[in-house]
Amino acid sequence: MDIYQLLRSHLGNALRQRAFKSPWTYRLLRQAVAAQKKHYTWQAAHRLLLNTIDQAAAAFLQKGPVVWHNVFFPTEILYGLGVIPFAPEAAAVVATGLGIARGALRRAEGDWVSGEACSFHRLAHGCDREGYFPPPGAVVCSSHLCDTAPQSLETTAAYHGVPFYLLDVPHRQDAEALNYVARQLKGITFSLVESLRLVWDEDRFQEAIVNSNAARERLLAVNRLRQQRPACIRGEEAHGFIYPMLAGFGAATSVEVYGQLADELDRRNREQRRAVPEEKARLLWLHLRPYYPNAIFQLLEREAGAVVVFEEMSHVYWEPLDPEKPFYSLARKVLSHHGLAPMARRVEAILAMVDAYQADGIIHFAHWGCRQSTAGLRLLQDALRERGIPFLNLEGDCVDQSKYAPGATRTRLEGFLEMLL
Amino acid sequence: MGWLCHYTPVEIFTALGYTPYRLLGREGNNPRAATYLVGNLCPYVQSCLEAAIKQELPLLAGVVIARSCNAMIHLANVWPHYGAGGKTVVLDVPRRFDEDAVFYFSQNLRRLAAELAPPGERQLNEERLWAAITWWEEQRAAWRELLACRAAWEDPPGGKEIMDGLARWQTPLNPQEADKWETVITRLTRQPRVKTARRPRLLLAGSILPRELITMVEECGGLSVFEDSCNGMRLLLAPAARAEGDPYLYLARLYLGGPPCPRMVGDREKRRQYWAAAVDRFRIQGIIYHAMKFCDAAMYDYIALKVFSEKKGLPLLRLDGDFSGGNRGQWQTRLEAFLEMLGVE
Ligand code: SF4
Ligand code: SF4
Repeated sequence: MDIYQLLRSHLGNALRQRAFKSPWTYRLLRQAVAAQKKHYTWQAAHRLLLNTIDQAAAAFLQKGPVVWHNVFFPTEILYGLGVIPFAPEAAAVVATGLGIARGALRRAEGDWVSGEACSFHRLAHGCDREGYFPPPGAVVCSSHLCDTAPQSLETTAAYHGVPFYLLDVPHRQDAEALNYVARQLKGITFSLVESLRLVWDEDRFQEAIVNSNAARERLLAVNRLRQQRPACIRGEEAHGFIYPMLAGFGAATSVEVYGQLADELDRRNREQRRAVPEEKARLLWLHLRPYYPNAIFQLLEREAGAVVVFEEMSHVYWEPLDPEKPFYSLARKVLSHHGLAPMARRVEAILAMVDAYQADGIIHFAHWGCRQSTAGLRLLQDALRERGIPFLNLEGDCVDQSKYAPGATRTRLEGFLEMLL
Repeated sequence: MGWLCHYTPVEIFTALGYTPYRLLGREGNNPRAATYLVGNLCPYVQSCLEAAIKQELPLLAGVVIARSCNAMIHLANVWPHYGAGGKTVVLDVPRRFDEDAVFYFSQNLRRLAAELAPPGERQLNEERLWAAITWWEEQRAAWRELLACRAAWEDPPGGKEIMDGLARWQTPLNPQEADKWETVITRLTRQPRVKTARRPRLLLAGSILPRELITMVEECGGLSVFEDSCNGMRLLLAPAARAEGDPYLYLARLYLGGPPCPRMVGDREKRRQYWAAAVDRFRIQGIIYHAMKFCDAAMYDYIALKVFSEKKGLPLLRLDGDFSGGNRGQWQTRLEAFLEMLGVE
């Protein structure tokens, strides 16, 4: 059974906000998911789901201070402080699966959150104001890549009357920028300790850094295995593992999940179990995917044999962290993002992914409202044209189902596949 | 030397012998820019690129693009490929105002000066920079004085007149023209006032305010007495910041410590205080917010302003604009209804 059906069946058809705050919900959910272990194609996905339920339970039951963060903020800090991280953009995905998106988006519109804004944040706003999200004790947000996140999260912090800490990330990667970011990270860390009355635990902080490095190592192993031909995991399945990338670095559970995924991929590779019966083309996926039911991956992978062999979001762009210099190395990690600085850097990273994963073509999902990902595409297209790499810019919305046009999407995908196969 | 964002310290240009020329966009659609950027990106940024592509800009030695928001970041990406000729220099501007940010920004400004320096001239002479700082501060002070008189006067110079003046002030074509400004500002201040019917005193806010909006507000019987925009009051910064021995630190503090723009998300409380002071001092009776299409900062700034105006019991009107000059039809009816509510017949 699909997790959302399961959730809905436990929470009742009319999803009540109260249900999210009841320990019974998580107990039942956990039991139900645990009992279904053998139905999961990937045990790592099963593990990830259980971990996510536990984390959601901790947040919704307020088992400690909940700190909201955007998906680009280095979460090692939050795990290192022992608070409960909560990423509203990621939670918006769950809201989509639960079918509460429409009402929440309506609420956001009523609160004047413009329809031109990214729907992840519109949805998060609606869910929060409708009482579906756990209230924050503090909010942290990094300014890099996305303009909406800091604006949206500051508004939420002001609404709840809790402190808001902005990590201001420049575009240069020089020593001055590194110092500037590192000092802020340190400042934010100790401001959180103070405002949330936390007990500073050096060992726990170190552990988060060590966990982050271990997760990175395992993710690199996963990525290396995904470079092999033919692919043994479909892009649709692999996409589910983006979550730890966006909200799980620093947690021991992410080490487990990536480790298990690497083992499973390795085994399947050795057993020559393929993602699809016949791999006809290999694709690279840029940005995120739509999270409501849609036929995109079905059409690409199962019907046409065009496997999404890698997604940009899983790219490991940073060097290992130095436990001796946690703030400096986290600053370096933040500044290493390939989406920062001139577009040429993202183009270069994407071309390197094309080579490493032997991709025959690229699909960029142009999520409406995400200016950071879409506005620079022209330069990417120019570079890809030069190398003769087919490119499709698929317009849509990751969480707002009302923007999904199945007919038009199919036509565009078919046109692209015709060119590719 | 072209520039866009009001967080660009033009003093450095002046000290290096350039005439700072602000790119204020153009009226009309931007079909060519939209092929290099995407359709749902800030129309102001698009219109600056369109002006460059269509060669509507004067000959520029280069352009300094402050990476102040996502749209500007993307503009900085495409400008060297499709924009005007000359050099493209980018400047990172912090989104917070504290000692770390001031110090970091000052380092960026020092580098900016080095990057803009003509070949062979490695370091900008600090005396020249201080002289430029003084020159600009005198000009801004004169403008601030003129704009502040609207707080006390019943019949102050209209917003349109002032905004037109400010636009010309930001776009001189040579140093001589730039020098003449002090007299122009003084003249505007001394101009005899014509008594008009009592008009509601308005605060106009937004990221960058289009000329047509102010014109229309005043044609419909409103009086713009405070323009909280990066081509209005924010452009004039605030009276001199703390004394500094280092001109770059001085500039960093002056610019980051000025009236905060919607992008200064870590500084929103200061923005609320800024509105509160403006409302009291300028005896504001209503607020009009111009929400630039696809400006993420403006979208959320509006929400904060809405909360603020509700607390103050001040009527607020939001008008969305695409900077094309073609919004009259959409705005007129709503504007008339709003002003009627404020007592305009
Ligand atoms: S999809 Fe784009 S705009 Fe939305 S939160 Fe992510 S980066 Fe920001
Ligand atoms: S109007 Fe908004 S999007 Fe446009 S340049 Fe200004 S801050 Fe950026």
